[in-house]
Amino acid sequence: MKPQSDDKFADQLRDTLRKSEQQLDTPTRTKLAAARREALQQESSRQPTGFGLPTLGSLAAAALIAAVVIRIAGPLTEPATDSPSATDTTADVMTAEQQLELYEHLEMLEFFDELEFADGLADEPAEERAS
Amino acid sequence: MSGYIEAGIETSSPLVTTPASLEEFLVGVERRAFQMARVSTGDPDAALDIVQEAMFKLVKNYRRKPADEWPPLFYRILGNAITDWHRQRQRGWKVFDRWFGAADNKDAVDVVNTLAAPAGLQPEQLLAQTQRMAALEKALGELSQRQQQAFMLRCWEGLSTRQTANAMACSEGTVKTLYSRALHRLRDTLEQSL
Repeated sequence: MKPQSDDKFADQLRDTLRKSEQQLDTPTRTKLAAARREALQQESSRQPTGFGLPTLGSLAAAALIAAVVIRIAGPLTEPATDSPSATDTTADVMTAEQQLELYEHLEMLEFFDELEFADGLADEPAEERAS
Repeated sequence: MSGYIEAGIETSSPLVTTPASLEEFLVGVERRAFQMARVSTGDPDAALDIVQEAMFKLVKNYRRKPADEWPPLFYRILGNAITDWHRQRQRGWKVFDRWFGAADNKDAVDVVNTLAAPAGLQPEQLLAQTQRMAALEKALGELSQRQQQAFMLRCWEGLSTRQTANAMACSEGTVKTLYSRALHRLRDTLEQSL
């Protein structure tokens, strides 16, 4: 007997398989329909994300992360120590080298000033001093 | 409604008609996909889970793709899910099978209980159809997983060689080889019973 062709044999198999699809029991069909509806519902229930919203969200997240990092790590630049600023305390001013020299010289200047004042009084005539 | 329905029998001809919507596509393939997964796994519950997973992934990831790309994408997802199922089962049951053997074959396909009696079929016809399907499922179960997949997609789903290659992530030559070998093995096993 001549063997049937591959195509004819495949047709027979296809016919058997497709008939089996039609013979699925009702519970299985119901479960498949439910699974399909559930899968399709995830599409309709998905909220549309407007243009730019993801970008805004990313920016907000980046800003939050940056704020946390700065808070943890402290200021990024050290304050300059050469020139006292308005934020310097009294102690800072007092300990500055230039300021100490000024205070040391100030006493001496006051002493010289008093000496000159006294010399000036001594040179004046007695009558002028009495008047 | 569905472009897959011809003369009251759902047929698989995605090459002939492109579905108008994702729902129509899923309606057209869900029973076939379930049967494919059941034949491959031998477990109706697992088959249902696998088909549901494939539907979810297709809708989630590929709903915006052109409709003619859905069949190969869907069957690739389905094939991957079936492969994952086999891997997980092999890992889980390897030790169990070693100790208790395969005598307790609780995953054997119960074709008679899974299939319903369609209206209009005589009991003899139903019995003959059920027996043919049982024999075919048994023969399909003896094929390698890749041969099964190639045969089901080419013969049952009606995908072209190129679409089948896309779905299986292999070359068209491989598909031709797998399909030819599957067909010849099935012929050797079934020629007397069909």
